[in-house]
Amino acid sequence: MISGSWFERQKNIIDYSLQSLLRRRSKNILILIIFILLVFAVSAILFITGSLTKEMMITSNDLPDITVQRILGGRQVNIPASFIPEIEKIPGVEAVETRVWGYFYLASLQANFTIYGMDLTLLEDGEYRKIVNWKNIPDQAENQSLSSRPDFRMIIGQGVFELLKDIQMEKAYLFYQPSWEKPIPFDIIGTFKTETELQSNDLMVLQTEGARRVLELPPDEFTDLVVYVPNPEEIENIALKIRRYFPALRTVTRAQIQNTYASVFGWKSAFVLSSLLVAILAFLILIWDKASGLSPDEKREIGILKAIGWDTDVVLSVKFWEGFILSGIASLAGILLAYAYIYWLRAPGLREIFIGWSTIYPSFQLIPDVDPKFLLLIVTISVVPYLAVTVFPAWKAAITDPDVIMRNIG
Amino acid sequence: MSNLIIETINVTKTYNPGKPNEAIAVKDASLQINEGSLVVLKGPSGSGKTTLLSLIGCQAKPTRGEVIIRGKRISKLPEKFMNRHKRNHIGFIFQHFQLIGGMSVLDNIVLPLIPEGISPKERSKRADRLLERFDLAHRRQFKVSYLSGGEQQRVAIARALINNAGILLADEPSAHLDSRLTSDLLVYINQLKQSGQTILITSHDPIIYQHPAVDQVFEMKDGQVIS
Repeated sequence: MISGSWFERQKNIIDYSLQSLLRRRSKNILILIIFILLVFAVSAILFITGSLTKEMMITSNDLPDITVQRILGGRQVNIPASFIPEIEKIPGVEAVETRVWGYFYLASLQANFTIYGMDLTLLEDGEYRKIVNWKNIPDQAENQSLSSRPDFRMIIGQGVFELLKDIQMEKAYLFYQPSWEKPIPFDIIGTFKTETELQSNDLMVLQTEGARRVLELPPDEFTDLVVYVPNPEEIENIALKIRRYFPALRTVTRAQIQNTYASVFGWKSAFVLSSLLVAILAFLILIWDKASGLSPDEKREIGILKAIGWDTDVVLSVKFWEGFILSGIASLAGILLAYAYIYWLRAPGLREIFIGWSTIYPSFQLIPDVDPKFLLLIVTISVVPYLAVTVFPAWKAAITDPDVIMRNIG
Repeated sequence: MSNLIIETINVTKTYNPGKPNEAIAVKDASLQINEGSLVVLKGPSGSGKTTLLSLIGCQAKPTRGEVIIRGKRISKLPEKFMNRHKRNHIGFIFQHFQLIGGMSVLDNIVLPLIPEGISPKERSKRADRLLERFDLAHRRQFKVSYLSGGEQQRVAIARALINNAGILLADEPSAHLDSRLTSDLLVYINQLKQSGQTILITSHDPIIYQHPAVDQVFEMKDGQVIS
């Protein structure tokens, strides 16, 4: 008999494998659907974890080198201005800046908001101007012009803005405590753009003096200090020195914050994966059961192929291609679906688990970030075990005499 | 003088050796078959005919003894070489036809050519000749499970002949056929013999083993060739 080329042989084997998959289409479609769901679930979790971690890493690059807080009785308290010149004296410190921030519970919305105090004129110039949608608000506050009450202006996140729109609050008469005589009105002069939503969604940035009023912060005290160190190699050293010289102070470096983000998302990812573990396990058992048990028909087919002269390695090649095609399609489809779910649909259902504790969830766009290591991991945990469960029973049948399989002896 | 094409020397086949369900299917079977002859192995059910045919057809290896095909001691060959020998020299028609139900007539017939790397076009060409010869051309794309018993039998014969093997082995080919289809089968077998094919058939059907075209009959009983 004249034999064809190696290439033609492989083509024939792949053709036969495809035919074989189609002949058992109901069983294979069931496996395919389960498989796609499985790959989709794992990929979605890995994608969202990777994407959030990356986004946090990028945005946290703008964080100060060292944040300094004062601890009293195990909790954070305001820090007096007297610490500033002392910290500035430490060699390697470029600048020490003050921060005013806190949380304000708005009873009408039953939500906590982050209040941040700063000089808003800094946002009106240069690079930062681009992150705000500036509004021209007509003067409404007690007939005073905007410029005449500059301490009571604020810029708010998109989430806050949407909530205020819902309750039709044009003017932010939000800030009120029962101990105050009257509410403190603020003019909204802009909203943060959606690109910054992960950080700014529930944020209200107030002019420093206004923030002090709302947060009831005494003069010459700040919430915390931030320290800038030009040499990144020195950051840890300087943080150590601050803690040594001033035992009442706590330092948090940018690297520590980044590590915390990474571990928080890693922990959440592990938590969600663990929650899905039972479902994943059930899927795996089902796939194992469907794929590994050769039906009497499949056994008979292997017997026939062997009986008409097919070698064991050719039979195994057929089974290999069957498994590879099915698990490959499932992996690809699962990964693509997960990609669409996370990056186009913005992970409804899963996002809430991963993002924040606030009543306002950010609706930011997740930045596509597919780590090749994730893809390798997904392929490894899907294609390889599936190939094993399909090829191994076929090998067992293929090494048995065809006579024994077809006559069912032994 | 005729050439010896098949020879078995004291062939024994034991299934499940050493186990409680051990069974000796063939015991010290020896026979010789000449090229171009039509030979029948007859005997009652369980006499070992099918097992001996399987050993000659490289479907199983003997526990003891030698099977020699075209001068080659195939029972000692590694699987790959034995399979190559089988593909090149032997066509096998199984008792229950052993066709793959979900596949078409054409796909079943060309199955032995797939691992050979023969192109679909060439496979089709070879199969078409056999489809014409066995009056199956109109069933070319039919699934074999939709065919009648006689048609399935002819598909099985066509598949056995697709690799142009010189030896055709048929296990109880009339077992599932009525007398008319058995007569048709004998016509085909006779034609194959006329074309120089060596044919070995197992059967306990007198219509087969008493047919005038049969050159030689071996009788088996309790796993042994008794005449």
